[in-house]
This record gives sequence, structure tokens and C-alpha cells, in this order.
Amino acid sequence: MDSESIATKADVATGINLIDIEKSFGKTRVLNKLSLDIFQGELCCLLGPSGCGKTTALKIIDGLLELDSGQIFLGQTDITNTPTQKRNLGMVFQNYALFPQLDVYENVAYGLRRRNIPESQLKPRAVKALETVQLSGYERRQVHELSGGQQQRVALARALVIEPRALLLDEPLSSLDARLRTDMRQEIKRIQRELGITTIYVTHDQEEAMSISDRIAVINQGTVEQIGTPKEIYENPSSQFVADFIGRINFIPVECNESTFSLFGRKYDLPNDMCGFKDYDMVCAVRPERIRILKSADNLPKVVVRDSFFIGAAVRYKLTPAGHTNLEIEAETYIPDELLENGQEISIDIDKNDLKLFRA
Amino acid sequence: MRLPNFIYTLRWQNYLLPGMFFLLLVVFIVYPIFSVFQNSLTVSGEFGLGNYVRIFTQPNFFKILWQSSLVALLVAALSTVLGVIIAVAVLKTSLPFQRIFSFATAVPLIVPGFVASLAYIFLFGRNGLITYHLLDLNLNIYNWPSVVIVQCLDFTAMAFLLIMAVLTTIDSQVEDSARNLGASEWQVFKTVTLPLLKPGIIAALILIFMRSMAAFGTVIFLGGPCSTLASASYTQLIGAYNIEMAATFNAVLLLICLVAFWFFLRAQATSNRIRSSFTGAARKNIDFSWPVKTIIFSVCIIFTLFVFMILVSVFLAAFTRYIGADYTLTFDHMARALKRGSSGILNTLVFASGTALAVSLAGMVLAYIITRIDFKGKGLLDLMATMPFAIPGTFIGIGYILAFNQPPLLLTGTWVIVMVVTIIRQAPLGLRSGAAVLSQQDRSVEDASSSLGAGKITTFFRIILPMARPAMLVTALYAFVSTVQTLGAIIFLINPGTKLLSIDVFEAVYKGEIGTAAALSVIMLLLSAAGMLGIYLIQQRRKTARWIQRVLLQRPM
Repeated sequence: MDSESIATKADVATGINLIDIEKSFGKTRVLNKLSLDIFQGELCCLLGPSGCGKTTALKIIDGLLELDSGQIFLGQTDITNTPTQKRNLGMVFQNYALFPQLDVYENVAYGLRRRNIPESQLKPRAVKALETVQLSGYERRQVHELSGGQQQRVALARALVIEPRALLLDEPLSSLDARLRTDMRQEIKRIQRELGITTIYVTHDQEEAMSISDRIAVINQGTVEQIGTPKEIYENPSSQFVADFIGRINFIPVECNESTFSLFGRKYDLPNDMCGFKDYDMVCAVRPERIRILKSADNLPKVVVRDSFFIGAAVRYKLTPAGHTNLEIEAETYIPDELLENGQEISIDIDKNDLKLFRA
Repeated sequence: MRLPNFIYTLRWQNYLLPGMFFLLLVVFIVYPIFSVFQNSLTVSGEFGLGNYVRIFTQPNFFKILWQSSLVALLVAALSTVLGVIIAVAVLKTSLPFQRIFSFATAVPLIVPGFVASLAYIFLFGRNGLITYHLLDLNLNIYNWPSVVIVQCLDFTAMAFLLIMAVLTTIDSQVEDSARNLGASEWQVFKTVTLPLLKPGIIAALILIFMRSMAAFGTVIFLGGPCSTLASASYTQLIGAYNIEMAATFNAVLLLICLVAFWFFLRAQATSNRIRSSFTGAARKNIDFSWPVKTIIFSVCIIFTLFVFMILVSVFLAAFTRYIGADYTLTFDHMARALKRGSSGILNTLVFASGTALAVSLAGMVLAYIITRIDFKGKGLLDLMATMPFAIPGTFIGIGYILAFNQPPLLLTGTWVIVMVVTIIRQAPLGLRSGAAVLSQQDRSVEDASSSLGAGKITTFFRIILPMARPAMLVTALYAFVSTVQTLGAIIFLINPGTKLLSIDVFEAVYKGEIGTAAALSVIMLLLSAAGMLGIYLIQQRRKTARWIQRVLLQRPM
């Protein structure tokens, strides 16, 4: 599909830089020296628990909220004090915020009319935008007649038709049902790729973030905790918060000496950058699917199966290591040959590279 | 013997209570309406359209018709514009004094039109505080512009509430998305906020038109040569003893109001359909340019000052020797008002309380019947109980004189008829607020009561009434306030023996006892204010506004 006329690739899309953004509502500090570098043409998710400040950050980028201090750059331009009307960013709101008194076509044409685009250019552009989101033929429908997914598409078309320099999406799928959400996710990704438009996507759904993003910025308490590709974030979390927030993970308190630590009686070398932390409480983190289960092996730690849950593609076990009666860890195995019985004693094997250490 | 089949399938117990209400409403609503039309269609004892022909052909009568319509249209338009401006100022800007402005819009709720007219005379009349003493003018204020001004004051409160009802449901994200798409602040208002206010604006225009058409006190006090259908019906009856012509004026008035009401219901139905989904996003202010801000602010200030001047002048007149001439503080007027008007005050209290009690209780029962009992003719019962909302006060007054002046229902001149009128006038209020309560109550609680063995009556008294008590109290207080202020409907029905506060004010003005009239008005304002305060104390401020909006809008619930 030719989408060139809606937003020409690359030369329109620009990167966005946030530098030390601060924002408080009354006494609550919502954004705390938040800095973020978003590359030209990428789709970057702002991911975090509710109340972490991700939506506030997005509204500040769009100019709907004023910041207390900091700077925003759109490409080379400082837009910190530019009113939202002049920023030329396309925003899709959480509940779409379509104009209820206008039909689909007029909703899409709204931004063009504000730009005094002559009627001769306006119509083809609006029609094209509706085509991009696969809503051709819906021009004269009233918005309240549309389903949630269709309203979502109108909101997307309305944001794209003004050829914005970047696209901002505020939890765009949160009011759709689970199935539609997956479809729309792919749809948004497709359109974003085709247009090559810089996109910031706010969500609290980690699965959504993982599947759609080029990079994810994990936000916690008003600041960026970690930014990286989904794979980096999952496999190499920079903090206990990120490790905990993304996917399932076991945290096991461990004790270390100068250069080693022991986990369930098995000794591991401390990573180089962790040497010298021996006086601190340390936590060892391991993903459930990285714990290998073996029927019996003498030199490996022993565990007792407490409970098992069959979850389709995998089996999840609750395990208690021998000698740690009040500790419970989780392990996942795929394609199980046979289910383990509760109370059965088995061994586990964890590779050194699958362990992450954090200061507790 | 076997009776026709449907008699066995009908559930008779379901028809006992509805039947009683049906009978009451037919006697006290349908029959008076019928009597008015019957009389209007009678020319010297015979059936004929002569009276209607006279209205359209006799120049002085035709003038009354178009004057009424013009005044009502003007008042509706001006009040709605004022209501929009004040509501936008209070809810959509960061201008100062917002609380004072919204308080000012609540004042007319306790000041009936004829008291406002009285105050207007104190301020702008021949001996007026402002025109004569301040500006040294000698104006004749008894004309239609004065009527329009005072009615605007009265109905702006209503417009404000109706506009506010819509304004608070506009999702601020929609306005934000307009900004995001490049709309300037003024364009946001013009292309998003204002179009979304349309249902509120239409509702305000129509309802105020109806109320203004029916307004009686302001025209009688201030109209001078300008008379409207409502005031002319009074002069026809009292001055010319022409009851047929009085009936005809009211019949025309009712027809106009019914047409307006029909438009109103239709507009409501469509606006309910396209209401936007509101997620409760925090409202965001519109940052108008300074000329716009200045205009909005000035309008609010002028309105607020006017309202407070009206209030102050009533008190001033009540507590000084002679307003406009001698400002010595005195309690003589109040003493005389309390002494001479004591029976009027007492009667008003008794009538208003009785009405309040009956309206809230009967409203609840009627709402229960309509929403919970299964019987044929529900729609008709609902329609009859809603009718008084559209019936002008003078119409119902004349209707009652005509309907109940002969046996077996010889009620004219008794206190019963006054009571019935005030109750019937508030029937729509009772029904709507009762229905609102029932629609909010969880039906399963009633089902639980039934499944535990309680009958319908036990459930009603044991479950529904206790849960509805706060809402019923609010309804009662509102009915109390409205009844205290009623004039147009009862002025025809009262005979010299029965004294009432509003009638006493009316008579004192006609006797030229300005001080006493003002003192009586003060008592009336205090009674109304006490009732309103009660409502505000039971519910929070926001909820009160919502509640009054619903009553005003007659929302199907």
C-alpha cells in the first residue's frame, strides 16, 4: 500500500529528546529528572506501573501539560515552550476522544481544516488516511455507531492525516477486549513500519510492550529505570524493579564472600562488577524457564515439588529447596514428558549465565 | 357462568393501586383541562370557536398573543446566552470569583418572580435607589423591557444549571485532541465545546420559553401596558368577569406550551442517543484571549451585582422606614408583617409542609407503581402525572375554578382546593425523583425480600421506603420551596378568608404598603432559603445541582 502521501518517511519523522523533565502535581512529584532519547523512526514504549508518570510524560511531550523544568527537543528544535497547537504531533488518546458531534470523515478532516488546507487537497488526504486504517466507506458514519476497534482506527487516522512529526499513543488499546487488542497491536505496528514514523507508545501491559516495541523505556517513580530492546530488558534487567516488572522471575536472597556466592549449596563465581559487595544483602534473580529440572543428579541442589500447574504450552512448578522450608521458587518446563508428582524430590540445574545479582 | 377470557388472565391485584391513581389524576388533571377547553369553546352558552377567533382578529387580543411570544422568545434567548457565559466562566476558565458567580445563579431559586419585580421597582422605579437617587433619572419602568430583564434574572439560574449539566459531561480529552490537532483556544470552544453544549442549549431555550410564557407575577407587577396571555387571563377574570375569555387565553397558552414541551421531549430523546462516553477525565480550562475573558467576566460581574442588589433592596425596604425617602432603621414593617401576616405565614407553612409530605410520599408510590407493577396503561398514567410540568399556573388555577365550583365536587373557596393544586403542580417532581430513587436501587434487594417471604406491601414499607428516605426528604424540601413561592396558580382560588404569604405580598403591593410587602417577602425568602439550605446540607453541592437539573429536565428515568 502506498502511504507516502500521509506522512513521507524519514524526512518528516524526527527523534525526540527529553532532558531532565520535572513535573509535580501539588506536592506529588510525578516526573523526576526524566531524560529520554527517542530515535528517529522507532517505536518506543513507555512501560511502567500505573502512577509511574508515563502518561504525564506523554502529555508533556504533546504540550497538554506544562513542565516545571527541563527541555524537550523535537529533532533539532527546542519545543519546550511551543503550544500544543504548533507542535504538530499526532496523539491518540486512551478513550480515543473522538468528536461525538462530527462524523468519521469530519473527525479525520478536523486537523486539516484547522490548517486551512484547501478542500481539493483535504478530501484525498482524509480518504487516504481512512484507507490506511482500513475504514474506507465509513466516511459518513457517526462515531457512536462504530465499534471500539473502529473508533480506535478513526483516532489513528485523525492523528496521522496531519502528517505529524511523531505519533503519540496513550494506552490506545486499553479499552478493547483481549482478542481485538492483539489484532490492533499488529495493525498499529504495520502502519508505523510503513510510515516510518517516530512513535511513543504508553502502556502498562508488558506483553503489549514486548511484542510491539523497537525499544522499551521502563519508567518507575517518574524516571527511566532502563531503556533497551525488549530482549535486552528481559534478559538483562538493570535493576530488581525491572526484573520484577517484566515477566516472571524468582528472587532468592544469597550470601557472598569476596568472589563467590552460593545458591542452594552450589557455588558460583561473582561477576566482576559485583566483587566487593560482600557486606551487602544480595538477591539472586532467575527466570523460571531458566531452571532446568533433572530427575536426579547427585552433585546438584535437591528440591521438593510442592505444586504443579499445567498452563498449556508449559508446566509451572512450585519448588521448595531442601533445607529452605519457607522458600518457594517457580520453575517452568516446556513440552513436559510427564508431570512430576507433588512431594517428589528432584534436582535443579541453573546455568551461571542465567543468574542475575542485585543489591537488595 | 363463564366471563370473557381476559378477565381471568388480568391480574386484578395489579390494577387496584394504579386504578386509584388513575382516577385521582383524571379528576384533578384531565377534568380541569377539559373544563377550560369546554369554556373556551363556549360563546354565550353555546358551542363555538368565537373566543379563539377573537384572539386572532381583535387587535388588542392579538397583540397580547404576539407580545407574550416575543417576550418569552427574548427571555429564553437572553437567559440562555447568560447561562452559557456564566457556566463557561465558572467551569471552563480560571477567572476569579467563580464561587460568588455560581452562588449568584442559585439566588433566583429562592426569589420568586414577583418579589424580584418588587425589588426591581425599589431599584429602578420612579423613586428608585439607582435611577432616581443615584442617576437622577425619572424613568417609567412599567413596560416590557422591565419584564424581560427581571425574567432573565429569574431564568438565568435555570439556564446555568442546564448548561452546567452538559458542560460537566464533556470529556476534556476531546478538547485536548482538538488542541493537539491545531485548534486555537477559541476554535476549541467554537468547534468542540459549543457544539457539544447544543443539547443543553436547546433544553434551556425551550424550558425557559415555556416558563416565561407562563410567568404571571413579573408581568402583573412590571408589565404596565404590556400584558401576556397569563396576565391577561387574570385581568379578564378579575377585571372584566369574562371567564370564557380567560379560559381561552389559557387554552392558547397551554397549546403553545404543549407544542414547546413536545419539541423538548423530542430533543431530549435525540440528545440521549448521541451523548459522548464520559470517562471522568479532569476538566481542563479554556484559555480565552483577553478580550473574550473581559467580556465573560463583565457579564458575570453585572449579573452578580444585579442579583445582590435585588436581594439587598428587599431587605433595605423591609428594615427602613420608607425606601427611597427615609432610611431610618426600623422593625415596624416586620412587626406589622408578623402580626397581620401571622395567619398567612402559618397557612403557608402548613400548606407547603403538607404538599411536601404528600408529594414525596405519593411520588414514591406512583413511581413504584409505574416501574415495578405490571399493568396496561402505564404510559398513560405516566403522561398524566407529567402533564402539570407543561401546564401554566394560571391555566390550572382557572381550570380548578371551572371544574370544582359545583356539586359533587364543590371545592372552590376551600383550603382543600389550594392544597390539591399545589400537590398536583408538584406531581411530576414527586414522580421523577421517586423513579430516580427506584432506578438507583438494586432490584435484587427487593427480589431477596420477596424470596424471603415478604409481600409487595411489606417490601415497599420495609425495604424501599427506608432506603429512599434521604431522597424523599430532598424532594419534600424542593416541593416546600416551590409551594412557598407559588402565586399564579392559587391567586384565582383563594378567597378572602384564606391567607397565604405570597397572596399577602401581592395584596400589600396593591394597597401600596411597600414596607410590609418587603417584610413579608423577606419572611418568604427566609423560608425558601431554609428549604434550599436543607437540600444542600443533605446532599453535597454537586449532587444538588445534578438533582435539580434532572428535575428541570424531566429526564426519563
